[in-house]
Amino acid sequence: MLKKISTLKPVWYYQESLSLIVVIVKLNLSAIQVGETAIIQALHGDPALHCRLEALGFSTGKSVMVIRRGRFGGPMQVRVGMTDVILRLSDAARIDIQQKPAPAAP
Amino acid sequence: MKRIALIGMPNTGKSTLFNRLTGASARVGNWPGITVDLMTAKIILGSSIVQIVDLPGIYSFHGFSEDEKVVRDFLENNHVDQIVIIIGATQIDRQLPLALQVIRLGIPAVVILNMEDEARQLGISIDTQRMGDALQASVILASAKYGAGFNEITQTLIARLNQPSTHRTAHLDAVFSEDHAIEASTASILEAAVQMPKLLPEGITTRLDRICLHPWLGLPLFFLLMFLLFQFIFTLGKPIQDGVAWLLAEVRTQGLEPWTSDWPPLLQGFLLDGIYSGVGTVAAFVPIIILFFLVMTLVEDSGYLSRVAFLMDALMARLGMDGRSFVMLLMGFGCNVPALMGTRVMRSHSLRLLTMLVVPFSLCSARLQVFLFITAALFTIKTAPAVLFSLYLLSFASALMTALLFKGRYVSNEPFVIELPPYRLPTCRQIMMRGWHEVRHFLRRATRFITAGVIAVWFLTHFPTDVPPASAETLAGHIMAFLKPVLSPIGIDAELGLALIFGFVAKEIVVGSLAAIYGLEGDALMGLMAQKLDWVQAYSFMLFTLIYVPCLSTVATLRSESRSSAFMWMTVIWSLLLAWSVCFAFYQGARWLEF
Repeated sequence: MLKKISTLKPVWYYQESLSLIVVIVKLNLSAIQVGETAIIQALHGDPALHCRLEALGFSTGKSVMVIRRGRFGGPMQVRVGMTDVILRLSDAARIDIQQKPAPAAP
Repeated sequence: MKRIALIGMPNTGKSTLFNRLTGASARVGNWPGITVDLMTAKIILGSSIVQIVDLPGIYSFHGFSEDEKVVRDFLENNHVDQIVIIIGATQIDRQLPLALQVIRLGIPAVVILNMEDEARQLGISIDTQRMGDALQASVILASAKYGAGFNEITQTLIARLNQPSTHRTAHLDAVFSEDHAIEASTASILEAAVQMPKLLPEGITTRLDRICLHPWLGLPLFFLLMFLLFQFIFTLGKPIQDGVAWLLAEVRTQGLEPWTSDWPPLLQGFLLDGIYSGVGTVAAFVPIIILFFLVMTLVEDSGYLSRVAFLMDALMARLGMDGRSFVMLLMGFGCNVPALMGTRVMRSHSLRLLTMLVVPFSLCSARLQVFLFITAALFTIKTAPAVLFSLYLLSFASALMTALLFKGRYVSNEPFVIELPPYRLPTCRQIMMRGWHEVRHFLRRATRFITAGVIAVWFLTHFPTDVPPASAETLAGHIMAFLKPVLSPIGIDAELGLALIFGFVAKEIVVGSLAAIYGLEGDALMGLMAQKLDWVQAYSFMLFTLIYVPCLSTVATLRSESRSSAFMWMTVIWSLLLAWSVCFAFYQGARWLEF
């Protein structure tokens, strides 16, 4: 079964000396599924969004857990530290993340 | 006089703390940005009178919202002797930076770690002594909701205010350049003084959210909940309302009529048919309004509104707004004015304008009075709740349709990132204080707007004095003859039309002015209206009342919040146009279908 990952934007690079095309896909928060945890790599977006995210506890290196996703393309609920936050997918796409492997079952 | 300012993030119980310190009743809400006006109160601390200012909840000093600007402006332009920083103890990890920012302003500060009860339940332990040493400020654990730690707070404040202060107003520029230092101190203070559990225990909030935010059940549950609350208010309020109406009628027939019987007829008519009938008919609805506000407070303070924002955002995004706009619509059910002011949490001006354009369509408590009266007069007890519910749906429909039509004009790309606070059960004290606040507000309006409005109606319908009251020869009759071509196609007769004109001032006057126009009150007035009108006319009247300009206060608020007279006039004209068109379509359609 295929997972929809349409929110990811690939960036294409061309290495001239080696004649190599490199495609880098940066994972962002909007692509994370319910129950998965990710680590924040970078915050983008305009200063206001950046500032609000920081005040709510988002910062590089912190882990984010996706609690639920709204229907009909609605917002997602995530947990950062002790705070639950709801944010639109378009805003979540401004947060670069690195996926954390799921913890092994005890 | 010494001045103390309260500062803190939204959802930290800042307003509750303010209420407990001052005994006044600011609105408290579990929704970011509820306290939009600066509330102040004077209290006695030790041997001197101190002014306490409740600043709006902010996330940081760098923020870009209206509230954050208000706080910056306040601190730069006003002398503050002592600043009280309120931190939600459960979220100390992310709220501590704000405290550090504030302390660096150089104003003597006291840090209150609020919601110590919730923190204890979650297994968070905080060493206040160590934290105080690191912050160089007093740190106090407290619970604004239950009153724990308040002795210590007042003692500390008294001791601090007695020390001579040397600082002047704050210099905010200095704080902006110290971000990295603040980040480092936050980490070291948390390390030294706070112990947090690795994983949050699964609390009641998680379990409730599984139901309330369920992908399929969430929305139907919301509508069901609204309907049930509304049924509850109606069933519980109706008998109380009947009791008050009976009491007012008894006072009139047993007390006032014999007492004034030998006064000049015109004066007696003015006092009894004018003022007493008018104000009395309105007063009968006070119990339902109080109940309504108590229930609204419970919903607002519970944290459910943020869930509603989550559920409705997908739809609202398609209408050019966001989940918060929908919450403002809901708040508008109480009163449109605070709902309009609540839009200050939005940063984008377009989004604010679009939301402010739709909020006045919310069926506020004043309009509810009119509808309760008309439905009681013309519909059976069985159909009345359905009729009222249809008006609530139409209120949403007008708002959503307006947004759809105007969203092209007000395009915004405001981020939608809000906090989801845990569910909280407000204490009885919180709800009662708020209820009292609303009653006081209503009575204040009653003494000004309603009495003045009712007196004006009585004069218009009784002058000149040599013709029958409310007939075509009175001043009111002349006004109505002028408006007849506009109002008769929508089934609104002269008397109702006059009530609508007074409704411009405030909807609370509508029922009172009907009483003054007909010179009757309570059951007698309802009986007469049932004779004179059929349900199609009555429904058309209610539709018009629902959609046209809510009241002068709302119009004034629209003007001051949008800072544009053009915008204010546009909303007024649009609502009149929409009201007339909807009524025309309804009335002519119903007549064509031979109802």
